[in-house]
Amino acid sequence: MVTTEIAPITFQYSHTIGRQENRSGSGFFYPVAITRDADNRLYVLSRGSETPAFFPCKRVTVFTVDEELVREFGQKVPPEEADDSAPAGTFMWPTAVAVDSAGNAYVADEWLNRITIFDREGECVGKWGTLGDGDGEFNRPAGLAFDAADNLYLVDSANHRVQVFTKEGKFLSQWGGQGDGEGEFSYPWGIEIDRHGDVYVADWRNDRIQKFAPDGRFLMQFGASGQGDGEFYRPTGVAVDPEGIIYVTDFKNDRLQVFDAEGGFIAKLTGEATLSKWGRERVQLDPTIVRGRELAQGLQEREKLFHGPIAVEVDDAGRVFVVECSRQRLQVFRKQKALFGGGPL
Amino acid sequence: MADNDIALMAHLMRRAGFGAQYEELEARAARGYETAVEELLHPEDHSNGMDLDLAERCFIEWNHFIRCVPEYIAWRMINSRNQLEEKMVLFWHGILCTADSKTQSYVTSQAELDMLRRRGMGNFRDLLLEISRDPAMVYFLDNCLSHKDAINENYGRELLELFSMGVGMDGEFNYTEDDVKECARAFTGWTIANGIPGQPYGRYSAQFVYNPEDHDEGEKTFLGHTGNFNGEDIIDIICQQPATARFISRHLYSFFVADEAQVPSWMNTPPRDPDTIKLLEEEYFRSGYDIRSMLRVLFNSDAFKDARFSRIKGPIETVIGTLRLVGDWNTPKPGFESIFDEMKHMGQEILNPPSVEGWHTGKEWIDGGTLVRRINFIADYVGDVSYPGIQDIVQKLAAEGPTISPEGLVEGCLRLLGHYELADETHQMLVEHARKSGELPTNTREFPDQVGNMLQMIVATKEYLYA
Repeated sequence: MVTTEIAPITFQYSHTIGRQENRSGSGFFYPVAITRDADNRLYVLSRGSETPAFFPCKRVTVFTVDEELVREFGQKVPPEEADDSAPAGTFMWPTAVAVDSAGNAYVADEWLNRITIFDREGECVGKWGTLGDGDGEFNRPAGLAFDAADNLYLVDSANHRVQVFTKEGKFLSQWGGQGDGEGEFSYPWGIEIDRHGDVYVADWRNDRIQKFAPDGRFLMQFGASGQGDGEFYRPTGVAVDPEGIIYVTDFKNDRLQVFDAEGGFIAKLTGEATLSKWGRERVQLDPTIVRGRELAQGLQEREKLFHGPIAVEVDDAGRVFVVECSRQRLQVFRKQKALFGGGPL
Repeated sequence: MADNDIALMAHLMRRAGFGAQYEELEARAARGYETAVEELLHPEDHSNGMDLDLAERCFIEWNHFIRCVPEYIAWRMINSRNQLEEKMVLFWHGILCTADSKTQSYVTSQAELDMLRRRGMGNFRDLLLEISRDPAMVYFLDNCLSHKDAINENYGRELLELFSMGVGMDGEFNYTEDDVKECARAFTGWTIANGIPGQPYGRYSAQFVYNPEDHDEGEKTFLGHTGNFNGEDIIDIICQQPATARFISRHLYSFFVADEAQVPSWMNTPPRDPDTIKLLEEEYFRSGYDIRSMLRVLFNSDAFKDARFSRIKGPIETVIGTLRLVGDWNTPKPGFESIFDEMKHMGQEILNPPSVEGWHTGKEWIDGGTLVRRINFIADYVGDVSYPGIQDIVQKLAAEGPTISPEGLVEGCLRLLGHYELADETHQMLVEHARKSGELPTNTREFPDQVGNMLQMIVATKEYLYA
């Protein structure tokens, strides 16, 4: 099933992963971030819901591309305990997850203003973070990404900047500031580091993507507010594949947009979801759901669409993983290069 | 600025909104009463002042509204500058009722409430048409189960009885059982598509569908008119009825001016203020069923201006009004759920009216349990001097001089809460209490708590139950 075709790149829908799971296990609940480890296992962070408070819904779920659950870690802290004393390993408003070269997972929490570290087995092994606007302090951390040297780039969203830390939390550098000029931000969100170490930031409220050198030097920007090709309505996530193709979750336009390395528009995807493996398992448990799906008019046309695409990840095999926070799932696409590049017969 | 002007503005904002802090009252009063009314009546001309974008980033469930819709509604009530626009959502939500306990689809309810916000001050005919096509309503009142060869009268009956005309007025029935049946026949075919199950990917909004194959094309006689009526024709006829003008006028009066008798008794209980009801009825027809025009007449009437403290606040008004007074929930934070527990325990749960009849109001809000809950909730908030709205009250009182008399403390707190008025006896009791501490210096560390204590005593009075 080809969703979008603009020579010479096409995107073929592969499959859907996930289902609504507000407690734990094979699914997600308001997933907001994705990363993967060296073994190509996927890590999806469920931010969970405000209500009802008893849902233990906040967690990181680790699974394979083939939808095999590996483990999950992290848990919810009740709102009344969501302060500096919140136990290690708990989340209130988690926003991002990144994995270092040793396989440790780092989770940002924008309410606790905390980075929490989990080892390869999912055990909480540390936390750091201080609210503020000084060097090394942050206010509402959003995106996280490691560079090849294991330095952690953190989007400090309410301070409208990017900060760089060692993975132990030692401050290294920062750039940015509030505004809409080059190198300035307005509540930035997602972040990506490409194979050259260049940094891409989803400049959320400025409706654009900015690209920087590893030292924070501004390189380029693209995007503007709107619904047209190459325009955004609150971009949240950004990913760059080994060939430099840039993927952006255009959150409130409910689509993924794809750009070439210079920021030129290539394609937009609006979703092709089908029933996931975990989804099918859930449906088959309940004959009323099976019957309901048979009766529902327009199910395929409605169910396939992105609802709140919020984060995107790519792997070395050319697969693109799009996380939909409002549908508790991710859709997987494969990038394919057409053999025929156009022109006369 | 004259205290009278601010007192009147406080009254307007309690009724046409959810109350306001003193500085907002001063600012609105400075623009003049009629101007303030027009601002409230025309939200389309004014920014609501909310950063919903940023709030949605925190309350991520507001993306597509599959969950957390009560939070969104409450957020708007607390934070929108266009207060009447939000108050009208509550007004219509209590009349054109659907309940999540049956629909179980927040995303569909959200679409309905958006419609009520969009149409709430518009033409009543348009509103009736939209609610008749509203998927939540079609499901809630079973019109999706009404077929041309087997009608279900539920929607047809409630459309007449509870949404537009009422059972009767001036001791006479407004319609017959045959009218109910004919009305239901006219709405056959107004249905919904089969919904997508909530598992595995969450709810989808329900969709209205008109199915002409299931519509009864036969001739119908409704309220003395005969023809091959469809739902639109029925609504046209309904809107022409004097009973509809009466029914809407009484609802507006009861919600905005003074507690009326409960709806089921309206047939045999005349309006409490027939003159004002007559004014509203005339405006209903003069304006071509325009709710905004009726509200304009209402808010500018002496009956409204003179009707201070003659309505018992509902639980949602109480909770939202308290949060607005103290300045809480202006920025996103965790823990919103407890707010809804409070409303629920006081007897009013957003999106879950107890029946299609809506909430019974007035003194029926109050019983031993709900009263204690209400007073404790408000007292906990106003006694917490860390809230910015309470700090403002303290600072304003402190700015009046180095000391404040017992009488001054009582008067000042009443004024800054929104020019509340107490019965003489109650007033005297508070003054006597304040006299135990004598003349208070206003620059001490204890002064904020002394003010908080007095505010707590005021909100525990019978008078504070009223708006």
